[in-house]
Amino acid sequence: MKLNPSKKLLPHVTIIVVVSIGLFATRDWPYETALFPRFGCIAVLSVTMLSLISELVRVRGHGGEQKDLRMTAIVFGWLVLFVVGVWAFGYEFAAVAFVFFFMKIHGKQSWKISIAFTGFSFLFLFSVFRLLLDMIWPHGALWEMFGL
Amino acid sequence: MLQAAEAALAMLFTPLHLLMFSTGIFMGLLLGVLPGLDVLFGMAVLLPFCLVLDPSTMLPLILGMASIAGTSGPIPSILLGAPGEAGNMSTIMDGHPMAKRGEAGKALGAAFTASLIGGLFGALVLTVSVPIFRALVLMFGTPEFLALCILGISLVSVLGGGYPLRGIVVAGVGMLVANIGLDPILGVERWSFGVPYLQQKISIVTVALGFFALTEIIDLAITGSPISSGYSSAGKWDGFRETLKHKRLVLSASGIGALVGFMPALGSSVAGWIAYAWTIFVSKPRSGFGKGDIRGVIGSEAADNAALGGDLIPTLAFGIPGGTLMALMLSAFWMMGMKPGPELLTKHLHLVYLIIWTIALSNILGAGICFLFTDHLAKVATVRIQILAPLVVMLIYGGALVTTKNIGDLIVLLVFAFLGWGMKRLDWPRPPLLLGFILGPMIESFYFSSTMIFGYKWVFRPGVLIILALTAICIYAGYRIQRTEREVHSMIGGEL
Repeated sequence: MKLNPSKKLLPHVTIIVVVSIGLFATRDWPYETALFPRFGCIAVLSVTMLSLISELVRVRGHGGEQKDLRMTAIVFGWLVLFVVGVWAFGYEFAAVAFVFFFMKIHGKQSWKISIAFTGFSFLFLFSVFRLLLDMIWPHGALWEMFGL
Repeated sequence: MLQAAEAALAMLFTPLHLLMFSTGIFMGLLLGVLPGLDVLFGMAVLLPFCLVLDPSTMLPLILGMASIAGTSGPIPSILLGAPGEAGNMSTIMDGHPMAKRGEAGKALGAAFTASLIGGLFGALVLTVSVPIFRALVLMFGTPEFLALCILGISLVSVLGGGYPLRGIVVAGVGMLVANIGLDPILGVERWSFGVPYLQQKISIVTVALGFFALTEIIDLAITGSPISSGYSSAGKWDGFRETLKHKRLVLSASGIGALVGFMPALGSSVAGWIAYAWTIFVSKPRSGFGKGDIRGVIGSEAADNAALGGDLIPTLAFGIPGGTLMALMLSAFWMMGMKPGPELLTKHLHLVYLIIWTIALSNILGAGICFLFTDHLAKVATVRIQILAPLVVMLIYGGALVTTKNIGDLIVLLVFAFLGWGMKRLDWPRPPLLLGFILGPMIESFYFSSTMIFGYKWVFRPGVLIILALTAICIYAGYRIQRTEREVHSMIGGEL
């Protein structure tokens, strides 16, 4: 029997911690409210532990490959920035800005391509969502702060 | 009966009806292609018009739109890994890996052909089945629906990707996430921690977009490679031929789609997953599923489009809406002065046939239009990721934001994207989460209804016992499949 404690077991540990907190949070709930969450938590905890044990003793043929952590952080950084942009400036403004900056800075595309696709996204958003579907997006928090 | 069918067909070919029909097709195609925007949104937009227009004018518009969205839905599912409609989620499993392999044209060709056959099958079922299904629907009570949901959740035994325990854990997590918000019985907050956004239920659209679509884009943006580096010579006609080659699979998956659609509360998304699991069950070899097996695309798409026909049976015959879309459809019928039930099936039979013709013709037309542009669409997969990523992320964020227009949607989207990306990297199965998320709340509400009405005697109803026996068989067969799959995995691993 060979023990194989690796980063592959991280999800098990995370699930056990999060679900245990979730189970603890159900302690004051009424019976009807708590029945399914409690049952679900206990079932998930039991199966996760079973899975953890079975994977600890399972021999693996090959380990996980090393990925570029820096690039991962950068990509997630862009996505978080987009969310902050939507909150601050509203979806339409943030979306167009995101398309331009991602293409120009991250994608290292030419000015011509970046501007052309930014224009295209603006036209698309405006014609499809605003004109055709009559969609009103939430206003950005910063605009509201400045009374705009 | 034949006269009513002829009258309905003649009605559909008048200029005004053709215009409404074409508008419906255009709207459906657009809603299917845009991730996050679904037929529900289209129905909500069109509902006010039902008050001022007569049924024969409005039906081609709303049914044309509803039946076609499932046909164009596989376009983003296959090319971008973003489900166009809820029913296209299972198409991602094999469609997107095919696109990555340069076989987007083949996958799209197969998806459109299977959608067409499924749609026509659904229309046929709707035509012939009202008297047959009437008896069946009256036999089914909440305990049988609960048992059906349990049967549905047992499919995680097939979708575990070689790790049955991981599949069960992930499905359980999906069910727990679906519990966030107000509980359906007493209205008490569950795990919302006082955050107003979490008091409402988290949308499946947001979860699916983050879990699959954004995850795929993140992965591609990290590697810097396009969805597909090459363009395979296998095109739409190969997909077409493959679909016809698997005609038994197409028909059985269509049958599943129509049957699941017919069952109240289950819908096209459940139909897609059940048909996908069924496809794995009946296919050999199975090692290619999840990595770009065309049979996965064919089974899911046939079921998705057949579900609408099945879904309409209880709505038209008994006035029982099977889900949110059918509830909106029923409201539209009422607003137009139509009374679903015996009166509609006798006095206004031509309207029923108008619905059937619209579904059949819109499926033919929609599949034809999509098929025509397949080669151009397939080239999207070869576009540089530096150009494609920001445009797709923009659409995904827009699609997620449409649900409640709350910034919380985007935070949930990011959380699930991170989870999905981590699970993909660590070889955890993702589909069970969606299955748990969809079926969890249904199981809870059916359980409470069953115990309130029947006490605990519901367990011993014959229908329940039969379905639970089927569930046990399903779990056993799923476990065997997973074991074989794991053995194949370890064999390949050993060779490498």
